[in-house]
Amino acid sequence: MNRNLEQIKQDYQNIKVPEALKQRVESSISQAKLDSEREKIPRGFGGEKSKRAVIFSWFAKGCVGVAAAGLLLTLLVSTSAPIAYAMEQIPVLGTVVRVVTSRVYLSKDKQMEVNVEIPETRIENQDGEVMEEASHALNDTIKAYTDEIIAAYEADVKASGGEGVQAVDLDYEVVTDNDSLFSLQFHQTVTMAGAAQSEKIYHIDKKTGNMITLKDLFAEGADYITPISENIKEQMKTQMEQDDSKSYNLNSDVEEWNFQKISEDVDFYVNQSGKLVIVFDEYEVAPGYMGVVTFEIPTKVVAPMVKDGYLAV
Amino acid sequence: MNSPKKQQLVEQELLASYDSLYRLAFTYVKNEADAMDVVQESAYKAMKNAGSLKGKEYVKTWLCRIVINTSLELLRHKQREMSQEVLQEDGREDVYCDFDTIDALEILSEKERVAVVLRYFEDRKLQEVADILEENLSTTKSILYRSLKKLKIELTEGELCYES
Repeated sequence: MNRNLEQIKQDYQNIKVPEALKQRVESSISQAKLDSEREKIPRGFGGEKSKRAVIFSWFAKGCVGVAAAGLLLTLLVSTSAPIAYAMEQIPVLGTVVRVVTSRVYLSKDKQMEVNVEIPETRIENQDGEVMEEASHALNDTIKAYTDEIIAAYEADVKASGGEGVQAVDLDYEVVTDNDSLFSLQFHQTVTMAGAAQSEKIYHIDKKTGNMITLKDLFAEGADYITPISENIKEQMKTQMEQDDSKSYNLNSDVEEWNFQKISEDVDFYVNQSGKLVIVFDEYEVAPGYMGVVTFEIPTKVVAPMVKDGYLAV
Repeated sequence: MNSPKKQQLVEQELLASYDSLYRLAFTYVKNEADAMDVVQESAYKAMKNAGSLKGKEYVKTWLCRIVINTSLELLRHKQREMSQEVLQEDGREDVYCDFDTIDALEILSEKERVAVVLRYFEDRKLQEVADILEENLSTTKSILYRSLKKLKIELTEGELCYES
């Protein structure tokens, strides 16, 4: 090897490896192990693996909350099915959903802090009467979701003896409030070494006052997953072709990393022009730098199976 | 080899070689904070996808490949940010290292740089380098040869420049 190369080698070997690196690698390892364990447990609909668990380390804890909340949502929807059915029989002009109060769970010690906003909602029917059951169902779901986030944070505080570095923020906004839907979106940001964002959106069908998930927008038994997933893949492809800086997990050499299809409990909302928008958490379908990514689904893709009134057709 | 075994293997290798993975990442991203992020994200990806590792003998090359891909992703992202933030004057610049000679590697293409780093600095076997580059042995050899030639010129010019 010539002298010059020897010089570069020297400098290369002099690149100082930060002491904190080891700990960060270790935390990645244990987080990945934890997440792999979790994925073995079937959850959600029909034992389908929750895609949301495939998320990068530092906020994966928050994800458990998300997954758990998703599950609870399923239970509530199905247990209240008779009521939902009964209500569908009565022509209802529309319910009103209000966020009446908002509690803040705040805690800060040393380098760790948590700031979680917990909204409390009230669902009223067209006569202005509070629909107790529906309101409770929504509030309980929200509480279960926020409790999970707080518990995960508390566990981290305990594990690190309060010496860790972490900030957890949760706030919410009403993303949709039209004739048919009321949707409350939660933004969760967990900051440790980097920041990671995840989203959770709850929807109230204003005709019935009940919580709904994506499948409730579509006719019974209709396959909405395939056309939506295919459309998302197309959009990913086009975006990557047109813009070098965009990248999605679509054509990775490693088959398992690629986006295959949306899960039944994927986050979504209906935007102002009445179109369906699918929301993916950071790291869910794209490298972390892409952040939270959304795809607006063209109406023609879902028009054949969508139930009346939810989307602009 | 089943999945938990693979994961164990990946874990061992990560703990044994995170420092060289860090240096490899550093040659791409050129600052401490980003290089740490790359290694951390790579460690997670590797553990999470340990199941797709083909065999024990590939673990090193596989990890290198992940670090390289993750570094490139980060650079692409930065590039995008930069083009969007031209107006922002107060952007922070990370300067952590002042190795003129490492900057000399800049004249090499991405592939050439990896080849030089792995072969000469990390003392990897030629076959391993070829595997990581996904090239055959003779192509790898000629990449290395070409790189050395380029570097020699760059370093000589560099010296003249600094002396004057």
